[in-house]
Amino acid sequence: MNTTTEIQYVGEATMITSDCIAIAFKRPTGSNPINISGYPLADGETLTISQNVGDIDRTQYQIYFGSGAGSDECYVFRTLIIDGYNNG
Amino acid sequence: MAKNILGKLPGDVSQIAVGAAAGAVAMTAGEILIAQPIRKNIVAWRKKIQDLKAKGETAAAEELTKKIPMGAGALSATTIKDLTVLGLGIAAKAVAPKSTYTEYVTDGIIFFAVADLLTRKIAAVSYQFEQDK
Repeated sequence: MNTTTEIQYVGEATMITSDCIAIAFKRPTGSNPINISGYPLADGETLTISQNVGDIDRTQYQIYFGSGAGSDECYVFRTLIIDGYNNG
Repeated sequence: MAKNILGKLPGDVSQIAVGAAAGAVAMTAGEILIAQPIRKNIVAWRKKIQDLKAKGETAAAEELTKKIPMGAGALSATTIKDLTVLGLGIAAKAVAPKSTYTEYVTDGIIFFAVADLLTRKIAAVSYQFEQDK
């Protein structure tokens, strides 16, 4: 199985559809509070959600920013399977 | 010879067709010309901070962290885009020669910008309400 990883900057409340085998949300140190579908990310924390081999996560994650003196920044890393490529 | 197809349609249909097309074009142009460069600038700013940290220049990194670029603060890149498109739409409505189609075009642009602002704000407020329950 071949995969590719996409990195996306999110700077406002939005919905991210996973559709991948692994997704991670990074809150940079010093940035404003981030809430991922109800889970509050700590300053500098990365939340990683991985599926079992062969499973695809179809969850829609809601990203919401709390108020603060920092920046509204969330980096989303999605690991996707490349269609048409198989082992061997 | 080009036929005036829109002129043969009922007024409401023409208004929706012209307004929707103009609004969609304006919002797409705004996304490409305004929002995306702002987002790229934010990512470049964060990369610079990370580079400074990697070099061990912690004080410089912390100093740069305080200089939040446009689009990462109170107004997001999308909101800046919406407000710019809205402002241009209102300005265009004020200065454009008065005709049925310029009215349709400018109304469509203003409608799309206001709709995007409102729907995103309502979504954020409703989500916050859900979280606070």
